[in-house]
Amino acid sequence: MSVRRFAAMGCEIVVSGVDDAAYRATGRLFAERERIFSRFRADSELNRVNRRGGRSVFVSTQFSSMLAIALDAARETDGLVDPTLARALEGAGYDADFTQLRDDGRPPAPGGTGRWRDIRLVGRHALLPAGVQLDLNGVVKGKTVDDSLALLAGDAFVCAGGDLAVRGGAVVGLPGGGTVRLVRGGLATSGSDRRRWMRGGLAQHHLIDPRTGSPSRSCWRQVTACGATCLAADIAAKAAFLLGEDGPDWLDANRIPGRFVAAEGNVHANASWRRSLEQELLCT
Amino acid sequence: MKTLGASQDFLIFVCFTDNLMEAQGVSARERAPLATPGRIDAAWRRARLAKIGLAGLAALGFGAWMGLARATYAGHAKHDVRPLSIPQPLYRVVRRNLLQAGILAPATAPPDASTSSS
Repeated sequence: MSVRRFAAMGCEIVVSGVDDAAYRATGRLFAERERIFSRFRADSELNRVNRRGGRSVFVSTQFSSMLAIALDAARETDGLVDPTLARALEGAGYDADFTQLRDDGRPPAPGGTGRWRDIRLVGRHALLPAGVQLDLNGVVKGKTVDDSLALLAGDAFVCAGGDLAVRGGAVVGLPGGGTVRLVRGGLATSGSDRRRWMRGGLAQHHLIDPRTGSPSRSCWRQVTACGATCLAADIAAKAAFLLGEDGPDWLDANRIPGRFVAAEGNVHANASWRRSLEQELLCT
Repeated sequence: MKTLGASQDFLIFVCFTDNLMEAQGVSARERAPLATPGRIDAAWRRARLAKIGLAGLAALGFGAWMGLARATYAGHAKHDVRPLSIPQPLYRVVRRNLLQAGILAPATAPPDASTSSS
């Protein structure tokens, strides 16, 4: 299976089973989504919307549908995957492209808690309360991976910095060691081991707990979830990470396979993960 | 147009009744004195009481009818009105549409890709 790579959204994109036209289309899609949803581009639509807090703003079709997905994700996770944490991220020090982050000695400022319920979206009219800023990164990358896979014909996979969607199956390496075959859907990992930086001498990471407005103090280092799509897997992995000890049971309640790597390195698979592998073994 | 007062109406009615009785051959002695002030006042009182009574009965009847209607008529709410919301069973089904699981199997080959924190 031929594999091609390019950089977008601050990570490496790996695409398999593509011809030149499909590869270019995938690259264009990632570039377009980055142009619309980047927090670090002054001319992005996201920043235009964030600057108009407290006033209704007419947004593009792509933006409104992505915001609708983000609000659905917040609803489905009871607010754990919240799109209104941009200020909290900035307060923690993630206020520039990740490669440019430096510890400038300032202490981290606790950001506001999640306020996704205050956002109004009617058609293509969005209204953010004053003081609320969006960060749609929680859904944009997963959705773009899924949309990229839809551009490809036949068996293929798309992987963006570890978030993966597959058609026709692929064997995937897992955090903490081990592999698994992803037969259908998506696999995503959320963790505090990457995108870490220092602020005022304190370690920070990008997974903000919407209940506190600060980086999560989850007992897990990495959580991998398997969803029907990459977006579903990404949402499930983030929510399970933020839930800490309750994460495995929450994924089981939603029948989503999840694999957890604890801070000390122990690997724990939830019942759905174990069951799905056992069932597959029984069938074969 | 000038409207007549209630007492003027009554006097006109009395005159009309006198003329009618004369026309029917009833003598003046046989007739009872109809227009004495005491009887007029008493009649007004009775009329006023009757009006109040009727209004009270109508209000009571309306209230009773409304209460019965609320309690029995199919189109009326039987309890406090609450905002419309999606029924919880449907909500749970819709929720599961986004949070759906993929399919995993044991690996039988070297990895094509790897998942890691992003």
